Amino acid sequence: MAETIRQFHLRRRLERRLTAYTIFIFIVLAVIVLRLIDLQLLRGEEFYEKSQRVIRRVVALAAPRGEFFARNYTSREKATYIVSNSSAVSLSVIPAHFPKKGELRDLVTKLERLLRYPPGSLVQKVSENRARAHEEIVLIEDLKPEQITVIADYYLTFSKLLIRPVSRRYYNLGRAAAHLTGYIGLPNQREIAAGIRSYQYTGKNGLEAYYDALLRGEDGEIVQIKSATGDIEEQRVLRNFIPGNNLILTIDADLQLTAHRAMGDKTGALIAIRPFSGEILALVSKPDYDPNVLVALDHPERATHIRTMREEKSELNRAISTKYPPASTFKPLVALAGLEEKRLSKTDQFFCPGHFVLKSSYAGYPDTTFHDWARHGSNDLIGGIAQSCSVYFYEAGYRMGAEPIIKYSRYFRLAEKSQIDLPYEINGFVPDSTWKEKTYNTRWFDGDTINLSIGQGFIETTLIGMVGFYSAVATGGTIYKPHLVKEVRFAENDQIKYQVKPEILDQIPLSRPAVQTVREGLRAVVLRGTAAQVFRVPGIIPVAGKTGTVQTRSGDRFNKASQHGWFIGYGPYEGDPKDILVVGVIVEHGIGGAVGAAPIARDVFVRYSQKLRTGGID
Amino acid sequence: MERLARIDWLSVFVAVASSLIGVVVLYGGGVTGEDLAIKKFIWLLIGVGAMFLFANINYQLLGSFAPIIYAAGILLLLLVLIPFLGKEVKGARSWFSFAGISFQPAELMKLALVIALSKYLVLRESEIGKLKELIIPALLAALPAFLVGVQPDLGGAVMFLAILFGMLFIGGANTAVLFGFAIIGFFALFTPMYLEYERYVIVDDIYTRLRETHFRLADAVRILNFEVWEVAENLNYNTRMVADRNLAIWAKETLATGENLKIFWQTAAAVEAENPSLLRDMLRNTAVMLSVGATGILFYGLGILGHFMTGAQWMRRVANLMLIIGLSFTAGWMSNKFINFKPHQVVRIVSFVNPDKFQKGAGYQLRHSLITVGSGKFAGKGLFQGDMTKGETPFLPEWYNDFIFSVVGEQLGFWGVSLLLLLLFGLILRAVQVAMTSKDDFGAMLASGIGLIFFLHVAINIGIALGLLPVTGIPLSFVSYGGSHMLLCFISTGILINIHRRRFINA
Repeated sequence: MAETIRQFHLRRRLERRLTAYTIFIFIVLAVIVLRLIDLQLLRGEEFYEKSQRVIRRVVALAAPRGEFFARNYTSREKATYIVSNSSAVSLSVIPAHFPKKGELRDLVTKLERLLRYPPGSLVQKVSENRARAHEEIVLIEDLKPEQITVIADYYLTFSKLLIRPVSRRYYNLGRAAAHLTGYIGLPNQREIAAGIRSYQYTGKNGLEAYYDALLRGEDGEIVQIKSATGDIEEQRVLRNFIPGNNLILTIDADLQLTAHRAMGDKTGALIAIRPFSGEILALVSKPDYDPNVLVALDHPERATHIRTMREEKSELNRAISTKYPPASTFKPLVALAGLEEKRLSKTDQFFCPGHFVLKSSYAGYPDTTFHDWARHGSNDLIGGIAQSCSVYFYEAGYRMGAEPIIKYSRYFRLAEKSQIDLPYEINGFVPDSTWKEKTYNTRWFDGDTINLSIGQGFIETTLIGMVGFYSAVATGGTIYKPHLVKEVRFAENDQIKYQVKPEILDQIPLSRPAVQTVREGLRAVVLRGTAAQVFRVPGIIPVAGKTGTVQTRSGDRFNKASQHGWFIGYGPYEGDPKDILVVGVIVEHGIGGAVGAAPIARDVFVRYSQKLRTGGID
Repeated sequence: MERLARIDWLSVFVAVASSLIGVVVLYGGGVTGEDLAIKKFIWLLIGVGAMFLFANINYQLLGSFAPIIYAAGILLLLLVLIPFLGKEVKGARSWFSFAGISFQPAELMKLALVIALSKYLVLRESEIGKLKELIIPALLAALPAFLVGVQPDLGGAVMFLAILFGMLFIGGANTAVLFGFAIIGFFALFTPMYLEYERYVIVDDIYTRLRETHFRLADAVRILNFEVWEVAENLNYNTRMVADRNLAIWAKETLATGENLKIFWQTAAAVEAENPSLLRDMLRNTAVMLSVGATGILFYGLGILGHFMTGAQWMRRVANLMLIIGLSFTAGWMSNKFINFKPHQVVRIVSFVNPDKFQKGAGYQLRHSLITVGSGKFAGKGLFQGDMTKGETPFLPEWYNDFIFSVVGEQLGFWGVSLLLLLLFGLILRAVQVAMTSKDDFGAMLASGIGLIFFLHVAINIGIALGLLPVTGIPLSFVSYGGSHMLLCFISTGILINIHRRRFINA
């Protein structure tokens, strides 16, 4: 009985609890239904509109491209910009905002008239893009201040036009550093195939191309919430962009401008490099182009500019992408090769009557006469270099043979790329007998040796290759890899990503006396030799260097204008290694080394001397 | 014929009908909707088979095998944690996958737990009012909750605890103890969450205030957003919500430089002073919290003393109430002091309160869920006409699973949702009725436990979809795409039918 009563009580308790639970279920149901009434019936219309509005589209959020700074970089505030992202103001229009027929056309015509654009130029842009009514058409990419004033005066009329800031690549040094910086443009088919989006700008030349991946960063994504009418109602960043890295260049902006000014309107190139680290302080190639015109797609003179560029081949970087016979600038290398191989000594005297006669090896054949540019009389090695006496080197070359000259040309990497961080670098060329047999089907004649010993004939080098040899003379045998970038920094926090350390490409074991002799010869060139007149200016650091004049094969020997001029030198002579600067200049059709090229190098050295006096370059 | 006639056709109808609504809704959504609908239909057929199978197995047999069923369920939960056997989907290792069919053992564990708890509660029916009798059921539920929690599937873990709570309530546990624990637990969670939430909502104001004078610092605050507090307290804090690592590093460094940290705290204090909140100040104040806690416990002692001295029952009741209040405050203070919730965890839980403020993650899901369900209005947009479930990446994430209720609301409108609610709550109430009329207590407990599974899933899922509860992944019974849960629902319905069939003593 007690058990039954207990059972009954337990069952009653269960039923009580279940009843409470049921009541709770009903409460929950009531809450849900009330909430549904709130959401669906009371606020249904509002949510319905939102659901119509949320037409979502993911578009790219362009990452700002990394900027370039000159070498004197300490912080963003005090930096010298070489390439920067400036902001411009663009004027654009969305056709869908003008439902009335002809409304947009009238407005744009009025705009043309007020801003004094040629009639129809802006209207054409609108009619070209008529198919995409909801997309922005950029009418003017870069509004000038006076244009903004005009639009502001008529702001009621133009209230439906969109004025917004856009980012614009700006090359602060313009033409002066065009070959260095390169420029950017929209990607070509090959780049698109490699995974670059069609709207992403890529570097087309110079550092912009070489460091493209670093500079580009990573684009982010924006989700655009669009209304049924296609207007953007709300934007939300889905993934933020990663800005491209900034480059701190080894370039000294002032020296670069000086070099550019010194080159004038000549055709040629100039390199100023620190031999003990490979840092390039200035690099100029002429003729040049204006990257600011190339990146401004709506620039009125862009088409003309591109045509001129094509005619002048001005996109070619003549410092690294063209090769010339080194001519007399090659003579110190011949001297060095002879000294090292003990085939020549400092005290060797040769007499120069103005020409050199090579006896024919075959009976009955005429002898060959090689001319010098002047009569020099008797000279020792230093005098030979100083006077650039060709007969001296004909004689020396004839005695030592081609083999050491070729060997040392290879040692000094004249046939190789310098590995500078610029695109489109080419190799120099050093001939040898195997090559000659293969190409001309004749053996290597003594005449070839004699031509080679004054840097004429088959040999051709790039300016940067020759500068490499002079750097080795300045350092005593070490060739550093030339580079233009000193540091890579994160744009977002200005922290250093990595620093470019001087990298030794080659260490040529040279004996000190041999190097010293060549250096003395180079110094003699500037003191009393071919370039003595040019460098007799006050306040200049002691410079050692060598001129060169190329007899162009195509040109007329007696037409001086057909000759290329070289000058490569370094200074201060026997100065502090970290101050030493090698300056190499090539001037196409520059009459001669001393006339055409040396004054340009001198101007750079003069500016450099001033800078050294006022504290130098870090 | 007689066999068939005794089957509870109402339950069968409800189960199949609500599943078919799910199939139809799936069919019109996304790009893969048709595949999903076909898969769900196959699961529906399997489910119906399982339902009729279990409708013919004597439920009392389940009672006698309860320990084995429970042990098997736990074993499966352990196996799924092994990387080689378990498959990871969206960061949680909770699936077995054989030959293209995925299966979640945690779902069937819910039924196993209900069977085990029913058996235990019926065995200890008369003693269950005592506190110590709650220990074993608590352990029975805590073990699977823990195993599911480490997968990690927070929603699943909460579900086991909710089943425990409901079963104990129905099974006759002391309500004061039960609700006491619930209230203390709620308060322990509420205090830190509320305080964090209060801090998060003023970050924007701090940014606005700093923008004019310290724009770098302001940028850093905006980049770090909610995590700025953690960083300001501990500069080595490893941020998790900032997508861009470099930006985070920059922001941290900015905050660390010079006077910035001091300026930040001063500005924060100024902004807080502008938005006075009594609750916030009280919860943050150690002295207030602990004195209220201590007073509650003191009054409990006094009340118990009074009860012994006078024998008055009301004193005991008041004493219990006081103890609950005292412990709640103490627990709230302790959890705020000693448990350090990370911003990404807090954001997930609090974002349902203000989905517009919390734009990412859970807040984003919720905003779109509300748009989805609300835009259906009364009549709905029509079948297969959902704007929010179109395309390759539908606006509404998890539309086929956790937010399918919203999709029904969008396509069928208020009347369609009401119909679905009628079906689902009809089944839940049917389970209560089966429990009431069952011939023995085990059947009653089992039926109400099954009803509880349905009820909890339906209530929590819909509550999440309508922005009434924090966002966690809980499927909607019968309707969601998700084979394991559907199978669970159909087996449960089968058992329910069986209990109903055998409601007469001699059956």
